Amino acid sequence: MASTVTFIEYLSSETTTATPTQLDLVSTVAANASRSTYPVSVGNYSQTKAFKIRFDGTFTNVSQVKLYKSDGAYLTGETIAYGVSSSYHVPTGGAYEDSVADTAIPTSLPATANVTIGGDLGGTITGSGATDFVYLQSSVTIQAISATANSKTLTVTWTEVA
Amino acid sequence: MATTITTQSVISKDTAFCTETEFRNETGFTDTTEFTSADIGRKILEAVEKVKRDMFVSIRLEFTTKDSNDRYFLSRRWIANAYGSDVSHGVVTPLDFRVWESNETSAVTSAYFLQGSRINRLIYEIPKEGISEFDPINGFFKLTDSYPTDSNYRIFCDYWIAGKPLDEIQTELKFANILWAEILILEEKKGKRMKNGVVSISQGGRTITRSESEYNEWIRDLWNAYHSYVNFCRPYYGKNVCIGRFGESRNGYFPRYGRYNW
Repeated sequence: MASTVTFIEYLSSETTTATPTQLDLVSTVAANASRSTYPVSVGNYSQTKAFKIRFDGTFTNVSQVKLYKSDGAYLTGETIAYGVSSSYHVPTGGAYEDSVADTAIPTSLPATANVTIGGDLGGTITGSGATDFVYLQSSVTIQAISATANSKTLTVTWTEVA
Repeated sequence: MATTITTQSVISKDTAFCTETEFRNETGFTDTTEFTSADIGRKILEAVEKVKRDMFVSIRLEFTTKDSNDRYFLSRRWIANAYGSDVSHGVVTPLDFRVWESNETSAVTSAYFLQGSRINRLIYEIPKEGISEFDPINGFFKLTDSYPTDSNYRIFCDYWIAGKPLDEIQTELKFANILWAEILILEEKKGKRMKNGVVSISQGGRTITRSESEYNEWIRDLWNAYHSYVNFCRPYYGKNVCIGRFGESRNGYFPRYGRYNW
């Protein structure tokens, strides 16, 4: 049987976790928070989403994890940045840019892995396990208008040896 | 193998420094029959303009200085929201300042001058879309490649300044906004009966009967509180003066000369 994949969201501490059904970038630290209740105001950053991608089930190993934005256009002034780290830090937002999520998320499948496993882009998961922390944050510049942004699809791909 | 998850945001622009909920929580005006959302919303927006007028100073038609990175610098700090721009309060956006380009070399401008006018330039406003970047802390903006429309045109700007960086005085702006909206509501109620027919108002731990002097006293208290926020936030707009003799002077050795250390 192939692996089963779940997203594990880390909230205000490394031990406070949730299983999100979406990763809406909002102005509060909570899993599956309502984007209309917690909008991101112009000139600010959303609160960082910190998550891991967990692999369970039956497989020999998983490697080469890649994350990219496969669908959904940005509005003017809106960008999403990501970053990967083997250590947890508390989500930041508002006027503050996340210290790790500082690279624009790729908009096509990257040629090489961009999510580390055990601190290594060439790392593998054997049995079951998770990637390192992925941090996701949106930036809304002063050029943006009041609007509901387009939904974006984040795709995670990996190489699996059954 | 692959899996997906979605992400989405709602982008908002604040139209005031406080929300209706914050207003109701702070003031205790929770009765939605007596104080309708529409009425409070309108008062908050009217109070926003008052807050901006009291706390910010407008700078008109200031010539900017461009550096080698095409950044146009303004001379004063800190940049604030414009009067009459009912969007995104608390964050400075291109809607909060006006940029102009001036033609000072055409035959028309010479004609103006020859007619005896002291106006010797034609000015055109650069649309907001022409402003590509704005840094309210460092006080510069950038224009898109389309502007200025002629490289000989000079750029000048209308803008508004506060006494401190805008993100540092969010709380003060919020409370000032709440206080002035409360004053507007009390002023309105002062000469009228309550909608529900009673002649007293009991809010925020204070009850007054329908007496103008009691209303005035309450309003005066709020007015004082409002102005303590205004004094904290508004820009200092003048020269320092020293009281004392040479020992305290920062001017120099001769009392009739100006300061050395600007």
